[in-house]
Amino acid sequence: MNGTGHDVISTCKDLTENADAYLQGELGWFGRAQVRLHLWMCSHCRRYMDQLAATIAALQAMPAAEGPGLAEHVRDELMTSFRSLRTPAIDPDGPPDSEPS
Amino acid sequence: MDRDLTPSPIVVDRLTPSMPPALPPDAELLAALRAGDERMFGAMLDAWTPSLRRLARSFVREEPSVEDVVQETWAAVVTGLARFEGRSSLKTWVFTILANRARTRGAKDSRTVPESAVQQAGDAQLLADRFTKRGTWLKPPQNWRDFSAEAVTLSRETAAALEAAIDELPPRQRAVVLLRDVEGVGAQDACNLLEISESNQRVLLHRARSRLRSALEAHLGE
Repeated sequence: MNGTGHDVISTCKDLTENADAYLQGELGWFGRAQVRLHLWMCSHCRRYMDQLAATIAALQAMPAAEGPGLAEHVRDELMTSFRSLRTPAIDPDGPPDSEPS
Repeated sequence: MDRDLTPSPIVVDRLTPSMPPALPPDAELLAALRAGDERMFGAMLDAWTPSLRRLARSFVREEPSVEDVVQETWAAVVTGLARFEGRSSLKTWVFTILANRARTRGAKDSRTVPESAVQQAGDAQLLADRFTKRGTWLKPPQNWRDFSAEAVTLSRETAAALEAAIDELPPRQRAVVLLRDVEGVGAQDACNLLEISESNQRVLLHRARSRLRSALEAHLGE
């Protein structure tokens, strides 16, 4: 599947290096089996795995970036050019690109 | 008594700051934009500008350049909208334009932020400090006060710590983790957008997540 599929995962260091691939389901069956075996034996790594999973989940749940919007005049200009697009009406079903690129 | 004591009707507080309307799904958004819906275009500008700025900072360092890149991106979006073919999500397409603008910009003022050797070494160091030569834990992960994703996101303080930790990541790691985990861009799209290989993408994402876990550990560990 990917390069990490056949690596030997035996030490705790190996585990941490493959932890996010494991969580993302990117390891092959052999990798997954090795990870599960290690986790069964090692409480430190179980903790590590839980924390990494929580970190990723927190990133995925992060609210949209906040911050100031565009400067007023920039926004106005963009709105104007958006409006002017309408004059030569865009045909949404037309050819994707008639312009030389 | 003549005084009217009936309570005046409750006046709904109209002054609560109005949240910008959530953008509709892509198909609907795109249809609205193509129909010239200005309100929708404005909502998109307002909703995505902070994300664009955040991503631009992984490419160019100076704040005025960041602003230029964001503005150029929006200008290109306006003119390119008719040509958007929907092969990726609209936001991914906008991010792609941003990455292109930022690269051009970076080449021009040669202020792009390459992964420094120090940062590369930092990643190796991060691990070397934690493990014995045999690869067992030297400094095992600390117990966290609370490590559910909800706890991390619900606590303002922890969310702020996570934000700050993202800002401190080496730029390329930051770009990858922002796109993949925060913005939910797929691996393939992220590779194309950043012009990096699949394996490079995986390594950068792995390092970023490891660093962020460590950062949360510093914050939540007991």
